[in-house]
Amino acid sequence: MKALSYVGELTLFIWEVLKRLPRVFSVIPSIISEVWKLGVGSLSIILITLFFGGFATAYQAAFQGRGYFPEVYIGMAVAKAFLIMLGPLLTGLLLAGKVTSALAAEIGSMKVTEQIDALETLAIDPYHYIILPRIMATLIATPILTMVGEVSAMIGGGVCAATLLHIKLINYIEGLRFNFLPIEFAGSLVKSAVFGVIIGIIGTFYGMKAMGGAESVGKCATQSVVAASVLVLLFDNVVGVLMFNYL
Amino acid sequence: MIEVKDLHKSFGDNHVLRGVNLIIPEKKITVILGRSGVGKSVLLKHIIGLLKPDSGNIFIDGIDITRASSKQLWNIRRKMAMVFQGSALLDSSPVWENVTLALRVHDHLPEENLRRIARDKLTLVEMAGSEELMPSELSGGMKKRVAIARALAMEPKYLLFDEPTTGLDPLTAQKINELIKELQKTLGLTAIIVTHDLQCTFTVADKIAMLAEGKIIFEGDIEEFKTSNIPLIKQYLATFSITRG
Repeated sequence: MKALSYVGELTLFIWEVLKRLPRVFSVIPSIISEVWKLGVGSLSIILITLFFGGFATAYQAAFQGRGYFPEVYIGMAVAKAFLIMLGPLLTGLLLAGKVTSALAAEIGSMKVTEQIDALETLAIDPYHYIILPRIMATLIATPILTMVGEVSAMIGGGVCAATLLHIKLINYIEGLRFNFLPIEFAGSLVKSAVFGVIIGIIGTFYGMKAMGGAESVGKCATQSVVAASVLVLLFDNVVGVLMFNYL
Repeated sequence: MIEVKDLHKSFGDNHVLRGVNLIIPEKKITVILGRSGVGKSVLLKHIIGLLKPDSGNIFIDGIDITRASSKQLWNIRRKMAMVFQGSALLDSSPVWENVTLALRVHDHLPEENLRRIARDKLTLVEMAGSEELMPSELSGGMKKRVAIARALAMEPKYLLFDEPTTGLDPLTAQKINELIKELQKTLGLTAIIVTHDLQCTFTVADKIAMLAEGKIIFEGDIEEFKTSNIPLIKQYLATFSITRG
C-alpha cells in the first residue's frame, strides 16, 4: 500500500513537471546557472574517480590477459568498458550521491523554512521556477560530465599503460580507436541523459516531501540518494538492453 | 472583501478548523488572536490558498478560492501578499533580489528599475542601504522588515502577517507593530494579522477575531474585546495585565 502511494506521489510529481515543460524557455537563464553550478561542483570528483577507474581497468586488463592478447587490446578494453558501462554508470552513481542529496537538501530546506510557500504567495509557481530548471540542468550536465569522465578514464588508462605497463602510447591509442562503434558512444550519452533525469526528479521530489524541520530534510536527502542509486542501476540495465538489442 | 464561511480542516484525526465564519473588512487591520496550535496559521494559509479546506468556502472579492481554477488562484494571489513567521526570504538571493522577486518573474522589468523599486520599498520599512546584504547577514527584525518590503513590492490589496512579532525582542516587536499600522494607514491596505501577542493586537487592531477550539468565538473592536465576558478572553487579559505589571 505504501509502495503504491509512493508511486502515485512520484507520478503526480512528474506530471506536474511535464505540465510546465512547454514554458521551459522562460527559465533558460536559471537552467544555465544550475548547469554551471552543478558542472563545476561535480567536475573534480568525476575527473579523479574516472581517471583512477581507467588506470585500474588498464592495469587489470593487462594483468588478466597477460600472455593471451596483444598490448593493443589494453586500450580497447578501457574504451569499451567506459563507453559501454563504467563511464555513464560511475558518473551516474557519483552524481546520484552528490547532486541528488544536494537538491533534496536545498529544496527541503526551502520547504521547511516556508520559502516554497512564500513563492506561491508571490504568485510564483515553484514547479516552474525552482523544480524545472534543476531537472533540466541535471539532464544537460550529466551527459557532459559523462563525456568528460570518459576522456579522463582513457587518460588514466594511458598513464597506467605508459608508466606501469611500459606499453607504447601509440599502441594504447590505437587500441582506443580499435573497433570503436559510434552506437556505443551514443548509448553512453542516452544512458547518462536518463540518469540525469532520474537524479533531477528524485532529488527535487524528495526535497518537496520534506516537512517539519531539519531532521526531515536530512531524512529526505538520505532517502533520495538510496532511491536515485537504485534507479540508476536499474535503468543502466534497462537502457543497456534496449540500446544493444534494438539499435 | 474577504469572507470565510463554515470552514473545516482536519489533519488526520486532528480536526483543527471546525466551522470558521469570519468577515475581513476592507482597508482595516483584522487581528486573528488565539493560543499557539489553535489553527491560526492554518486559517491564514487557507485564505491565501496554500491549503485546501475539507469543506467550506472563502470568498475573495466575490470569487470562491476553494473552487477557483489554478489560473484564477494565481490572479487572486497577485492581489495578496504574505509575511511569514520566519520571514521566508530566499537564502541564495541578496535583499534587493528578494524584494523584487515577483516583479522580476512576472513583469520582466530591467535590473535598473528593479533596483530602484527595491530601494523605494526598503526605504518604506527603514531598511535603506541593505540592498546588497544576504539574508544570513540580517537580524530577525531586519529580516521581518525585508519580508514586509517584499510583500509591498507586489502593491497588494490584501497583506497577511503570520505572527509578525514572534521571536523579536519587545522593542523591535513594537517597532514592527508601529510600522504595520503606519503602512496600513499610508497605503490603505486590508491587513490580516495572526498572532497570540496582545501588545501587537492592541497596537494595530481595528477588528479582533478570537479563534478557539476551531471556531471564531469573538469578533469586535478593542473596547469590546476588553469588556468581553468570555472566560478565555478574560484569562488572556488577566495574563496580559500581570506581565505588564
